[in-house]
Amino acid sequence: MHVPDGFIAPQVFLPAYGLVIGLALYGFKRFKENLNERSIPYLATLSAYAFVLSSLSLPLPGGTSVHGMGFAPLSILFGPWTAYLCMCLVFLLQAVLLGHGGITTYSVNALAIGFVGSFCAYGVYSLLTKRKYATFLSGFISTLASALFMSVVLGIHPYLFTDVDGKALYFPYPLSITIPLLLTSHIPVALVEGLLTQAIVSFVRRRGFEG
Amino acid sequence: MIVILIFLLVSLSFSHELLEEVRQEGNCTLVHFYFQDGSAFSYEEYEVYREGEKAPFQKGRSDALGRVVFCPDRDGLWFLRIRSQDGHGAELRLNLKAGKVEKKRSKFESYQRVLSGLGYLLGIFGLISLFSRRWKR
Repeated sequence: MHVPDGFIAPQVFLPAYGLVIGLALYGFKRFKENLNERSIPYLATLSAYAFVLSSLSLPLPGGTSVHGMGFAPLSILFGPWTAYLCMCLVFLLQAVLLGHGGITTYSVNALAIGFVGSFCAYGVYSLLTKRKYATFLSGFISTLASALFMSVVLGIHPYLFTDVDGKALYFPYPLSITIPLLLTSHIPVALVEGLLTQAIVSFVRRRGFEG
Repeated sequence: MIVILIFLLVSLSFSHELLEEVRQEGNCTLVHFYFQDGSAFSYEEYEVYREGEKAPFQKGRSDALGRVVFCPDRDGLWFLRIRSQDGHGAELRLNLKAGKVEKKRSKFESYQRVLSGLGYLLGIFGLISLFSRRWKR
């Protein structure tokens, strides 16, 4: 789901950069206020987990691939702002070192996966917290929410940015293609993400850590 | 433990990272897009541009083997953009000089970069740990 350079219009990624930086500054303030020294090793390990998980892809029929994201355990255990900050760091390293996602599209990737994903994971978990499958559903639904957000951002490009001949200047496929394609292809990822979230959160809590 | 287990899966899962190999065949440039397991990025839309031009020099779809071939008429910077409907793809800058260009990424490089990323990440959290005491004062 990391979008490469050249797919997103400057009219979209530049304001998104402003938003990402503003949210990160506010998130950092919250992070500093709530920081507990005991949580740093857990944060480092779960960020490493998110880094590795979002670096590897699950091959799907049709020659495409998708990847997990790993923000849900961070969000459930440490809150959405901390998860968002960690994911911003993860995506920055991936863009610079791995070429996963571009430098220009970093802002959109950070918003779609880091912000929307983390807040959705936290929201779903908070709503269903007493239910048996709250953790699984948090990972599952937030992954699909990120995919939906990204598909909308990509899919609006051919409507908004065209040349005089009506040809798309950036991403050329409309919402009618991107939404069903990204949502369907992310269902297996969301299932894996949900199971991993459930396993990781239970594991960390069994060790006596509540976040 | 979980991170280690997931990391062990990298060898399987990097198989679908989109890579490219660029080489010169006579007067033409051949760019091969493929995943690490060798499966091709086939039938995807691409466009090739000369530097500074908005109209594409060439456009089409990659062939069944994920290859794009174009025959540049001059040296300099060329841009190749390829994308699939689900947002995958790449944008390459190719500096062509006297008909020579060579670019290939190895699997080892992918492992190396992930390991460096993990190193940076853990290092940053190490620094946060050092600064956290000051923030808490």
